[in-house]
Amino acid sequence: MNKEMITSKQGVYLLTLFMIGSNLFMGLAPSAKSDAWIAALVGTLMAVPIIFIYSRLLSLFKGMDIFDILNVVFGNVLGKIVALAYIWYPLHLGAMVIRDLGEFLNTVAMPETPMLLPMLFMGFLSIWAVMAGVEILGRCSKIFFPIVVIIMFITTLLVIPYLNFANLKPVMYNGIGPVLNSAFDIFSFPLAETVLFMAVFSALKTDKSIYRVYYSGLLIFAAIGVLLTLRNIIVLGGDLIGGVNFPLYVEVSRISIGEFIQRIEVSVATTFVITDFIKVSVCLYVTCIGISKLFGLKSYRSIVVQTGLLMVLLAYIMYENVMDMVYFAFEIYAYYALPFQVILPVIILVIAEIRIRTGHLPAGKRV
Amino acid sequence: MVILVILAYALIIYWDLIPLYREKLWREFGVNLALTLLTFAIALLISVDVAIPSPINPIKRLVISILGK
Repeated sequence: MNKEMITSKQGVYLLTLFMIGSNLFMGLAPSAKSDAWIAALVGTLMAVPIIFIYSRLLSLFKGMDIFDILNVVFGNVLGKIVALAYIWYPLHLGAMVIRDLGEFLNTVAMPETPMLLPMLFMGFLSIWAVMAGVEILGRCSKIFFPIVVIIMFITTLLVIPYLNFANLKPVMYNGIGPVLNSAFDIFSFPLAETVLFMAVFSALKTDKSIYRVYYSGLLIFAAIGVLLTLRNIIVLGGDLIGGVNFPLYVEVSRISIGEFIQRIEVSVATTFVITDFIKVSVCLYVTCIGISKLFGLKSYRSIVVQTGLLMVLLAYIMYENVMDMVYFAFEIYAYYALPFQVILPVIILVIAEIRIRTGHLPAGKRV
Repeated sequence: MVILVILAYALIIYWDLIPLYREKLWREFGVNLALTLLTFAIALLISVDVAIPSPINPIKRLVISILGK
């Protein structure tokens, strides 16, 4: 069997870096202000059942990705129509993430450089990685994951002098409403985006259960996300987090210890670029797999370059300015992504279960 | 800018599209050609400073009309 494989450990790292993605730097749930950490916890709890659905689908059809599953469950014609949705969604998501990077670099690091330039380079890098295959992505994530964790850990140690626990109070001053609202944002922005991994994890060496991979990724992300959000709130205070676009960056830029250790926010920028790269690559990979399955191509590699360019150009024409981006990401996106993340997987699972129970489909087939 | 875009696309076509044509992979060639034409059109329009309407706006309007915000 000459198929590309990633180990389950690499799968967990890939999943975690994907979820950290760009959203941790835009701040989890800024609208909940000082209760954002509660929102992160609630959002993780909300993601538990939906991730069960994804892993259940994957373990029902072992070795198949989501496009194969659609083909098997819905049949040839309807399956291809639904597959269109799962081609557009990662394309758009990847474009959003590339745009995040462009806006980030344009806002904080290189205001004079045209935004297209960093976006193009990120696009080239991802095209290269996807051309090399999903194995390379797995190995990349294995190298990058410790770097990200170490940087987070060191910056956490360095912000200790700036902790101000009074920022946590008052807890839930505005009631439970805003918290639930932002929990839903967190659910849809990083967590349920893992629906895309239904196309990646067909390359997983499943000696362990797929549930374990998915849930370990979720747990690691929840730990990192809640801790960093808590840290953000304690250092900056809820009001400021709601006001700036990249709170993590602002927070780390405050560090100045003995007038010697300062200006280390570039480390945050590094993790931002790393996780963005992983996320864009996964999105590009899923899009290319989708297009090649849709047209019955022999290999997805022949279209990677053009799809990557399309993603970058889409990212460039997508928003007019950074406010547009923030508005779309926090007001519109959660509802727009709901069909891809929740409604369609639930429908697929229900139909698949019915057809397997009635004996129309063989269960647990290994391809 | 326009010349840069055209040059870049000439290179991309030479490296990416011509080999498919030589190997007679017609399906791959067709899909790749369609995508190339699409991105080339967008890139050319961007390079001559045409404001391309964002594909996000219809989504925005749809979501807002459903939610009634």
